[in-house]
Amino acid sequence: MKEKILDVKNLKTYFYLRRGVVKAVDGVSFSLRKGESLGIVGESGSGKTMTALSILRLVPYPGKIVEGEIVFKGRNLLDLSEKEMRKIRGKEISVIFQDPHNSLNPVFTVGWQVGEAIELHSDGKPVWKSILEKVISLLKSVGIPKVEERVDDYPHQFSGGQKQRIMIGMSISNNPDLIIADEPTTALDVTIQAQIIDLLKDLRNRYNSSIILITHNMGLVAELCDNVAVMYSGKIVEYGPIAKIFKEPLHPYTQLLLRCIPRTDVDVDYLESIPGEPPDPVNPPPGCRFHPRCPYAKEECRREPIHIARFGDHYAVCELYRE
Amino acid sequence: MRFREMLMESKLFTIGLIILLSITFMAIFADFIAPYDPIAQDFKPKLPPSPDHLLGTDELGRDVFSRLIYGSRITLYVAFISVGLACIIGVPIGLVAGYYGGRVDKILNFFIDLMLSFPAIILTILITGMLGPSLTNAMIAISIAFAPRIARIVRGQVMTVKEEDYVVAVKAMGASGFYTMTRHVLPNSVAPLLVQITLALGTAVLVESALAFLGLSAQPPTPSWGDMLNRGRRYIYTAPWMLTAPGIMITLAVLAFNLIGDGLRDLLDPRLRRL
Repeated sequence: MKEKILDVKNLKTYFYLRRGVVKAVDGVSFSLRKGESLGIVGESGSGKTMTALSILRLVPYPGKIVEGEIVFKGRNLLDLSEKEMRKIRGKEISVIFQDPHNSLNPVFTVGWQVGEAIELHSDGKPVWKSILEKVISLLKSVGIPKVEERVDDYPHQFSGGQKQRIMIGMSISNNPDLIIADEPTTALDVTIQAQIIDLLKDLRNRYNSSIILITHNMGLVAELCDNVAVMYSGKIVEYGPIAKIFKEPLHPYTQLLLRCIPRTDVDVDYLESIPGEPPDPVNPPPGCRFHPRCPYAKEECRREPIHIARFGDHYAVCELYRE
Repeated sequence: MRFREMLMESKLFTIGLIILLSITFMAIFADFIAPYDPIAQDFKPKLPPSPDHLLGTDELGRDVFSRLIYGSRITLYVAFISVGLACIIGVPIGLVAGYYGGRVDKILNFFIDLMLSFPAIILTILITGMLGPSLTNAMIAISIAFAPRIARIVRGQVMTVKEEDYVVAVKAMGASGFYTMTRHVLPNSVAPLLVQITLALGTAVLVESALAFLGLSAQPPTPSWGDMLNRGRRYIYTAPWMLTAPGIMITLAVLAFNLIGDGLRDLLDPRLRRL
């Protein structure tokens, strides 16, 4: 077994709003080994992105991490000072954001910004020329054509796919142990999506970084990940190795989610969807938060705690499997 | 290229720029353009315009045209220095208030509101009244009156820019709050400020003239448009050129800054740009 690089235990991130408390992340636990990749899947508002931002301790106001432990390489990130945390961000843990069109600062050249990522984590004042060499080789490795001519171009002169490649280049600039990719392909065309995923796979093999892929696209998870965590309303409802999740999903939500993937091998007249709507974040339903939409809901589903059904390394939080 | 297109597109902007450049030219080469020493007295007071004295002379026999040319120095000097000073005070306040938000913002914003509740002209008169009338004090007064306006605009802009993805991305890269604020948020917040600065320059000209008119700015015999206006007022029936000439110059200067400000706003705001 490889060493555990990240161990998130009972993480709770709450947002204190005037109309109540939003439990964006409510008792999430998972762990990640070196070189492994984990997919976090769920619909909008299920707390995927807040889980990622919590790991970096960048939860926006008025959100707060209220409980839990985030052990990264043996240290609890929640105990570190802001200064120590800054040394981890971008160096040991880096992020690729959803929208490449907005993730680069429009007023600076691309070369300057990638160089900045390197400079922020280098000791003393390195010479810009040596940084620029690194920038060029980085951008080459992520597949930007004619890098030497293009480093002085501004973000708007690149296409969306290229910008995401640049963001990926930035994220690997300090050889991080963990890359968090937050819906890296959502804002891109399907053909570009495939290229970006290939690039991520390639980088994972080359640098042996661990990856957390946040997405609502089951297809991407199947492409890239070893394990999957399915999130619903701030909680992980099912967790397991990719093959098991796809072959025999336990939680009704996962089953419905998988059924929503449009099939290309048969002729379909309409696309599947999950009836109902996501729960109100301030007043989530009691017990299993999925029960109002669940086709198998029983009386026990309304009561805490919900049974955790374990089958080896695969588990689901669901009453259906209570003996 | 873009600049030339802009000149073609906006005639008013071009006119404003031409007026401003002419005034600047006057101010820089005053020594060569002005036919007379602006404070030399000729014992022929209140002469009407003639080939000898293009715009006549004032009540002390000084050449109005020469005084007008030298007066442009004071006007531009006061406008740029006081607005510059206002930015030095206002930009950091607005930046900090907008970026950190919360209690810091509430406190700073309270003071901004407090200052903004005074009309600019009343505030400047109050401050020069307390500090004593002089050119330096007039500039200090104008910058204090304008700083909250600048701070307010920067604050609003920073509040929108700090939510942008690239700001979060920079933080996720390990940048400190101060670094993010100064290197990434500020450069993206200056565009609307540029427009306001130009418009503030126009207002500064007007306020300085008003202070000079009240005798609170540059002291005689320094040639200043506001002071010339004040002197001319007494002879409006017998020597109207004394009042008309500086009046027109003040109007032109303010107009120039406003036209440039409007032009810049059109250029910087893509929604107002004609395709």
